[in-house]
Amino acid sequence: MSIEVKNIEKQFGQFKALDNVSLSFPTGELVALLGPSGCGKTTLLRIIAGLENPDGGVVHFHGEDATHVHVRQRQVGFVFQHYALFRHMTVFDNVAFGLTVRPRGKRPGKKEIAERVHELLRLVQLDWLADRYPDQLSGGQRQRIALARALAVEPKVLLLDEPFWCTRCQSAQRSAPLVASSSRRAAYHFNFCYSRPGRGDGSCRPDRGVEQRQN
Amino acid sequence: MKRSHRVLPGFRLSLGLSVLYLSLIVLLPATMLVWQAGQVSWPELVFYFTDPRLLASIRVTFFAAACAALCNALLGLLLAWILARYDFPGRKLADTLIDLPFALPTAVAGLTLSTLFAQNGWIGKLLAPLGIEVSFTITGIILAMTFTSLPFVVRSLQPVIEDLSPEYEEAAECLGATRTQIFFRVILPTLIPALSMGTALALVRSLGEFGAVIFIAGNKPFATEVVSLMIYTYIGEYAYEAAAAVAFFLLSVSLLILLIVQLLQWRFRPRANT
Amino acid sequence: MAFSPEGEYVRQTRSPLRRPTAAGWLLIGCGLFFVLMLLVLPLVLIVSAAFASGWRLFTDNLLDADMLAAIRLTIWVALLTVPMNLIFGTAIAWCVTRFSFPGKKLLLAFLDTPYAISPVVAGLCYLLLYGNQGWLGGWLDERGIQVMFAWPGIVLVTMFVTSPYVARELIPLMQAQGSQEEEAGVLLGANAWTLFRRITLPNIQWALLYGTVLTTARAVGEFGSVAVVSGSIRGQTNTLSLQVQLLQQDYNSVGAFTASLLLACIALLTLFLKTLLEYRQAKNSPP
Repeated sequence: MSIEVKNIEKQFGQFKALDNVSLSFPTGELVALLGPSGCGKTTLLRIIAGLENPDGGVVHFHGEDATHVHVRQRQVGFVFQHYALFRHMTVFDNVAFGLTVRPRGKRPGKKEIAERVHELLRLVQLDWLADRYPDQLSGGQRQRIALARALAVEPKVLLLDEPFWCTRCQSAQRSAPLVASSSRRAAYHFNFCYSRPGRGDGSCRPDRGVEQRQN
Repeated sequence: MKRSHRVLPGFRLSLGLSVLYLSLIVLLPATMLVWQAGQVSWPELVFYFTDPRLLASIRVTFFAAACAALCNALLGLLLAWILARYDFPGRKLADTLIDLPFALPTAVAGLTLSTLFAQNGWIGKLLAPLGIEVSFTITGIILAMTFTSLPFVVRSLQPVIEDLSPEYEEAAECLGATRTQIFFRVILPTLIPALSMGTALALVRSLGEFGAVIFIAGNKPFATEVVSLMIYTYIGEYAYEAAAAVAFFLLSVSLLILLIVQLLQWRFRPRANT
Repeated sequence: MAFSPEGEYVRQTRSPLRRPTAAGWLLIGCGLFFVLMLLVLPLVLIVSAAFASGWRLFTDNLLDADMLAAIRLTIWVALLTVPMNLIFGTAIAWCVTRFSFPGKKLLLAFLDTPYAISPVVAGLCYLLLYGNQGWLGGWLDERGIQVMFAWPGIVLVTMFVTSPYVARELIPLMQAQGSQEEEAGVLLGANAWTLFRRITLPNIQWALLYGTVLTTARAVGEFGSVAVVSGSIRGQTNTLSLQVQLLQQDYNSVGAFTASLLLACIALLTLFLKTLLEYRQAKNSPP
């Protein structure tokens, strides 16, 4: 699904986070947003996801105006910088959450959900952690679970907010190629949001980098 | 003792003072109660606890305290939520006033509530045409108990709600959950430990509440007498053994409730730092 | 979302306050309704009822000999209770947060027992201990010392019910602050008193003051346990809280509300100081 943002404006109090930003991402492309910290990368991702309303401008998904479509209907996968795993749920329940909250008619059966979750956990190589709680995981493991959770609902677009901020966790670095391959296979959009340009080990090099400048 | 030499000074002095004060002020009198209760023979115990008036007061107390705890859980959740989440005029003032029931002496609370909700009181006058009587009924007892233990639930929930990062709700929203689903499946479960703790504290406080209740209850035997008033009556009749037996019963129930909730807390977080 | 002045995206651990939505306003309306009914109206009623029959009757009741005696006794009880509690609270907080020793959990459990004990039961405990047939009561009675139905008994039960207050304010704070600063002080050669006065005290002063305020409020307003041990002798062992009940039983509504007004003023002062101290505390400690 292609994404197009046009003339996006966003202001927080006195601070202008985004000033007339226009970008387009064709279907299946991996794009990294680069730029110094505070230049509005996270804000742009949040606007694309529908977590934030732009003060001006439009967001098009596949040519259709999605600016006022609710987050719930946008079918966007979002991996938060700090993962936001649900503390009171096991890894399994976290990944299954998106499927179990579907309306009764569209909800897959219990067995189907279990199969789907285990398949995803195998994909991120953490099947053996299904019964653990987020507090018991390392940073890198949490990140991979967050990715699996986002992929479980089969989103049309996958957004990752600063996916490799936790550079000290080796496991996070190991997960980079994993992210790349899994998302490429699914032909998702893949938005990195690097806090500093030039990091990354090549295995998950984006197709294209877009640099945002501080205004 | 692991180390014979401690880095910081004052260990023996502070420990000695603490143990001495606790023993003299808290433990010795409490032991006295347990000892006195232990002196009561079985036949006497059966005699005390088959008194229909005492049984009625136990029923009234437990029913009213349970209702008050439930009211507190709901009202506390509502107040903690709006205070921690929304910005509205008067928020600071409301936040400060929440602690009033702890700061206001219980006798004053009882007197004021009973006047306010009496048939000719400011609020009682409005409720009377609806057929609702509050003062001198069990509803009044519930009201007084709810008032005196109001801050427990609010104050235990508030920091948890404030700590609940908005990212959790956003993550759930991205995964397609509705507002109701987010509340019942993401927010409420994280609040359960604090909510149950606050409710248990409110329940224990309500079970033992005396000052506020006796003003508003009317204290009719068999109808609106609470257990703590029964103990007070026994003391007035110099029936110390009966008083000790009932007091020991009340204390045991309170400690049991707190123990159960403590155990539940451990069950809620079986995943702490492994 | 928030940005620091430099424009940096700052992750907030505290969820920010939001502008209420329509549903939010409904919740706020419900919440404020209860706050108004349960918390604001009672305060208004106290003032209005105390002055219901005019200023003269109010001052007459206020300057009544029994009322003045009750005020004096209440202040006396608070003056004796609060410092004792302050010393105990600081001592137990220091030894619990700065050292590890066997039995610490037990000590903390005992510290909390007054919370679980009904005030009437607390009074009964003291009555059993210091009453005529009690372990200590008989012995003291032979020496002509009366504890029950006199002010020492009132002070003792007040110490009992307020004992956890200061400690419970200090312990979480001192736990969070850790002992590194004090250890640094020891390394620099400070002795125990200097260490406490120059390093510990500045860090805990607001919490200590808040604990004092809470203890004072409870000590002044304690009713149930005092009712058991005081014997309610007019003009002698009647505290202000008991005076409220006595006057109400006398059908002297103005008098009861006059005493209530005094107590309510202390309560409001407590709330005001609490808000102020929490503000100072927040400013004092780095996030």
